[in-house]
Amino acid sequence: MDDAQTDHATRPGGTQSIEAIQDDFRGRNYIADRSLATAVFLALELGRPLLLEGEAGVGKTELAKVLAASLGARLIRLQCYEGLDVNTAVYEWNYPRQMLEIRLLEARGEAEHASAHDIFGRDFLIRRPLLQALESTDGVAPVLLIDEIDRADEEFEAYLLEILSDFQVTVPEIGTITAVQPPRVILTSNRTREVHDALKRRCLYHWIDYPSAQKEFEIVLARVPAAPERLAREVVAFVHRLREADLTKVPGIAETLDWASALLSLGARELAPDLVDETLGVVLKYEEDIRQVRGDVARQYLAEAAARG
Amino acid sequence: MTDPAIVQAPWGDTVDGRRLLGEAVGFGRALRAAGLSVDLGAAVDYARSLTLVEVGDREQVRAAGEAIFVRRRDDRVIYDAVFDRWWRQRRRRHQGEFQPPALPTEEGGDDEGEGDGLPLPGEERRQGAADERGVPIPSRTEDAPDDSSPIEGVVISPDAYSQGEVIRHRDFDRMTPTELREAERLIDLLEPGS
Repeated sequence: MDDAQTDHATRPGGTQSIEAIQDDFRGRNYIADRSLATAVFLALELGRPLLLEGEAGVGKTELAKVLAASLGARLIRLQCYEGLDVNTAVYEWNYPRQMLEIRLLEARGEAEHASAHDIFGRDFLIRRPLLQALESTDGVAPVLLIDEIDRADEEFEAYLLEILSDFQVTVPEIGTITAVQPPRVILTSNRTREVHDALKRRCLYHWIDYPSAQKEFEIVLARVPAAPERLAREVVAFVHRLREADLTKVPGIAETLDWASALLSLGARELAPDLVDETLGVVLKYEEDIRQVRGDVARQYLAEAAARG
Repeated sequence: MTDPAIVQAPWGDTVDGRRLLGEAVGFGRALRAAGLSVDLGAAVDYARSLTLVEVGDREQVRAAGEAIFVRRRDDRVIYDAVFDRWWRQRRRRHQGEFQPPALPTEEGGDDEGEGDGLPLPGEERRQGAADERGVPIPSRTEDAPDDSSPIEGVVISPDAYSQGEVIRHRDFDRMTPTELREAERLIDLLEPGS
């Protein structure tokens, strides 16, 4: 296949290349492997939303932030939750302001001649993230992060599918608002439920795994540059051992980084059993998990981690 | 003037979009036979993506297809196995030069549902049999299915999809000749090189 290796790493006329994305992300302390960088590249080039799935704490949300920074684009975030509705996600009428306007019209004696248009105009619209993303005219298409879509109701997901198909919303009193520059869309899911196939078909997809020990080690060094290499390696090895354990919640990358920072601020140069026991609360978020690991188990994991390293 | 399906790839070569689409659809069919939920829209996206990545770079081509065809974590193992087979066949056929298969072979027409399309990861496959099967382009007209067959997936509202959208989401095994032509027209979406 070597004969096909030509010098088109940077596509003529193209915005980015896969390597450029990887390099740029690395410069922003985000270590993306080739397949993730490829998914990002294609999502940008094909103009498709990118659905990222993976366990909590593998860097799905972070990717959207880094992408926005990389593109010099505004990041607009919609955090999903059960019961999320159009009023919170798209737009809402500014009811107090409408009331005030009515009072003013009355006071001026104009209420008789006023029409509904006078209080259902764009001035009275509260723009929620989705509408903000569609109306953005920054010059650079914004990055729209729809975070934890699996937490939203399926009805909302269906509504979202419509928006992502046409990049337009209809406000009955005003009309249809179409995106001037369709946003770059990143969706994340922790897979507490399966995202509907219809939405998945709209999107490119990437499952983000926990990083390999080597990759996570690089992440720690990039994010906590003051951490001694030995400490970073031991922390990563220990966390990797924890991820194999039967815990209520295994630590994500964020916990690894928090732990490394905490240990660093305690002046640690390497992991020691007492130190692990004292700081376990930074890595494990459930009391029963901490109780399970603290003491002998931690000692055993530490020994295993040392053997691996 | 020229055939709109003939486009210039970023690396300079001209690419026949129709044949590229054929290759992509063939790969999509192989994935479907192996159990993945694949529709024509994904195949079209894949064809487009092949003009955007280095087609000689195995990892780039693999990752491109993964982003497009894989829709759940568990799909990855199946995808990788089918990709391995496809890539090896393709390499043997073209010796690294990107050209889609000429025509579907006789055996290639109806292999769907045989259920043996998927080699287990790591299993040594029967190369001969796999090669004969090839990656057929679904161009048979005589068994064109009922036009009114339902569209796969949930259509939220009839207005949510344009005609193109319906085609994109259509199961490509159930497409009429007209729809196939329309699908081929979609290859216009291929960005001409600058």
